[in-house]
Amino acid sequence: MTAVSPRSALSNYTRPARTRSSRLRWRIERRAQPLNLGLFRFGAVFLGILLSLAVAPLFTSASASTLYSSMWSGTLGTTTGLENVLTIAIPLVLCGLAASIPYRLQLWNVGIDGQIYMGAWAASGISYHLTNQRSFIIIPIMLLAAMVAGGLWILIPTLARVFLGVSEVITTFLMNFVALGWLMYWATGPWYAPSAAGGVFAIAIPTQADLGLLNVHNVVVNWGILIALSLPLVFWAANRYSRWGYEITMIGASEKAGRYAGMNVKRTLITTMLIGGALGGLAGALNLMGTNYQLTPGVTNNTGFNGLIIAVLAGANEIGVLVLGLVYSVLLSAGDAIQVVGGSADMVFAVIGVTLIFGTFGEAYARLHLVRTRPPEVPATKPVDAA
Amino acid sequence: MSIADEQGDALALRGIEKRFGELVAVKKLTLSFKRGEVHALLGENGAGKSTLMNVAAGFLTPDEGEIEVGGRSISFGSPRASLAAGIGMVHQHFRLVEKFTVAENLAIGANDVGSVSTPLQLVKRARALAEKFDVDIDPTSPIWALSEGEKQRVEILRTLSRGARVLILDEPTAVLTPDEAERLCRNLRGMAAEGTTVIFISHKLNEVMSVADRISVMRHGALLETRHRRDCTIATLSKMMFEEHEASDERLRHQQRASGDEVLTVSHLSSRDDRDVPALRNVSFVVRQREIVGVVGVAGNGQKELEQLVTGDHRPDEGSIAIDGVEIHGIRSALRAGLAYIPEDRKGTGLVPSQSIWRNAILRNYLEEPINRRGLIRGRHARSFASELVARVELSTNDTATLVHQLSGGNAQKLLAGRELEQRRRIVIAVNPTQGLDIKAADAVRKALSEACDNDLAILLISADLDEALGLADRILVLYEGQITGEFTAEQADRNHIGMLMGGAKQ
Repeated sequence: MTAVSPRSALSNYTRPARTRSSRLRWRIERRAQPLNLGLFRFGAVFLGILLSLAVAPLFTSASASTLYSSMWSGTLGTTTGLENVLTIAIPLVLCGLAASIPYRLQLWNVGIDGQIYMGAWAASGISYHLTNQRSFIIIPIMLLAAMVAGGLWILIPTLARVFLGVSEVITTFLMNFVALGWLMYWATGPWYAPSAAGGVFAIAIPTQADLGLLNVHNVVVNWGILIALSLPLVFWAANRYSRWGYEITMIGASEKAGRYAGMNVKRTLITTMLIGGALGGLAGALNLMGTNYQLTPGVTNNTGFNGLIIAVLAGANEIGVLVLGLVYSVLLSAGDAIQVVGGSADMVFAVIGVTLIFGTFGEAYARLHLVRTRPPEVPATKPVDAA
Repeated sequence: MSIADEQGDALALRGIEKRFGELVAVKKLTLSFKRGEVHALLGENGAGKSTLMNVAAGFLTPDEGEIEVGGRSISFGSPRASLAAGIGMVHQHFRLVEKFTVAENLAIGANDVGSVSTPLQLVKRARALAEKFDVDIDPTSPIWALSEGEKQRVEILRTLSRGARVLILDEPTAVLTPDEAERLCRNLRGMAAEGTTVIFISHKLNEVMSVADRISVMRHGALLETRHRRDCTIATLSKMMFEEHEASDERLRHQQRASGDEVLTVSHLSSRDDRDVPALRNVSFVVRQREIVGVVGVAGNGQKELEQLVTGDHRPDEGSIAIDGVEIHGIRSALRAGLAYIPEDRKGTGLVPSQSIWRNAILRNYLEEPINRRGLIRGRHARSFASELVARVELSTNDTATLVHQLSGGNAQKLLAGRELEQRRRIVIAVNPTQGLDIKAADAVRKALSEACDNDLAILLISADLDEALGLADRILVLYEGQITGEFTAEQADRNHIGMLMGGAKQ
């Protein structure tokens, strides 16, 4: 505890005031050797989730036991819950990758929602022209079209960033609204489908364009889950073992060193951003073909921004993206489940916010620590200078 | 102290000492400046000129000593306090808000501007100030639209408008075109004639001789001498600035080698810098096998541009660079032709501090077999390559997973130099390779360069340290204002003569 000056000292103005620096105090210092960053960030995220779970009953009318049991049955406790979790995980993991791959080069892909819209739009458009084709032709073409559309959607912000130095944070973000406008035009205009339920929906894609279902021990999910589970591993291996991975590791750590080594820095920045955009587009197509079956603004379901949070918390590690993607899918499913028993849908956003804050603190704690300092006592007499 | 002295001295520094950790930047220095004089402070890079003046202007707090203004001692504290006492400083890097107009920049922090002012009031105020101090500037222009010379005028006007009677300028002509520099010198003389004391930090001898009343020469943090201009010649000044000191006697003495074929051929190179000012003019030279060529000069005379061109990082406006007769165009072609490069910025350009030793070790050859095969970086080969390198340069650790930022400066440079100085290379570009290293590490790097040269490499050493260049190089080229103004073999090399050329004296 820091010493508090006695009250009498206040009246004595002539006494030299104790300067701030002479007092014992706490100071934040960088650790010479950072602790395991990933471990602390992940640990803090899970701590945040546990804490949120513990206080959740205070904010709902339902009893704690109803709340927890509805969470459990809505996520991992039942087949339906598990199916829900895995279905949500597909776009979430892909969006996590869409953000984390550019993030390795310190680039921000804030336009994933836009890339989802454009991917879903391109896949829909292609499907309307291939209604006579069989699944194994139509599905690959749709996925490819979606990736191209997502890549093109990030191309202009990327070129502006690489050649003109325009911040990609702002441009990629604003492109989301352009994409939404584009989607609304098609879904309410040329591709409009009158819907009894209301809301904006385009004509449904042909049934042979729907993703097939996998049945593992009675848990039925569309096979997009295979893409979501395998792509993180593919990119993780590529980052670790390929020449491309080496280049983005070095350029991400120091652009100047990349240039020095003769790497084509601009080309690497561009391809990496385009990969991010393509993954966003792919997420859009998988949502369309596995969940929505028709083009609608609801095709994003806010996954773009959740993907960004996942990428940041995972520290751009692809395995981390996979794990956190699954964890967040559980959280989102639980959020759906508690609404039945009177919980608020906003609670899940609050929990995601809490995990983000905790994760950030966890990382800070791994890098920094508090030290108690007392500056060296000033000697009473100054040593005589040897003049 | 006599009364006449009190009236004559606008600013007096007494026994100023400033230390940065172990380094003593200014040693017990006493120096005074008269009212209405232009006083030049001359010295090599790192002589302590800027540190001394930052102390005088309140940007740094000295460890010892006192400052007197007009005979009264002032306390150290802040630039604001110094400005209130009448001492203002214009730094080499301007401290202006780029997006604001000239008038707005002049108003920032000014005491006579109310908390609510219309743009028109500010412009009027700026116009009045410009007229009062006879500075030619458009108050409505935003800073970013101005040339460097104009920005400098805004800085000077801002400093004067705060009541500065002592104006300190840190290498004011470094950022200016020759025309602008000439104009500045005229303005400074005008200000001095009206009673302002102008202190002018420089290392350009010609300029100093043309504008200053008195000249003080600093070396290694100490004042050598203060003289009237009439008692100086360019030769005496350069002798004072660059004279060899005893400590450097044990430096590596170069031995004459039998140089071989031409490796690096630089012909008729001309280039402009970022500000579109000519930085190199018609530069031609060759570097042969088993030869170290040293390029010396005061910083800012085209060394940076020369470095960027010979490493392939920039393309020349005119002229060409060839390695073994093959013209290079770009970094990659320079690498293929056998270029090795030890940049000044070792932790950031030459090495990636946040990555492991092995990832850094393969930075130059990650594309070559056996490390790279079919697009895969093979960790086993990469690590064994790194282990060999680490053993060869005798690094403090032999764990190649260690991150480079954990290495000391000396060990980092060993790693970098060891990676670059390889038999397969043809030409080494080394830029200030021993800067910031302790004596032992610096000697190790010099020895490595010398040995590499014996092993058939050609070496181009771009150095701000004249002693180092003289100790290592077989030939010395002097670069001044983008031109090679002198060439010497090791036997002919005469410090004083080279020093004069570095300062801009005609040969």
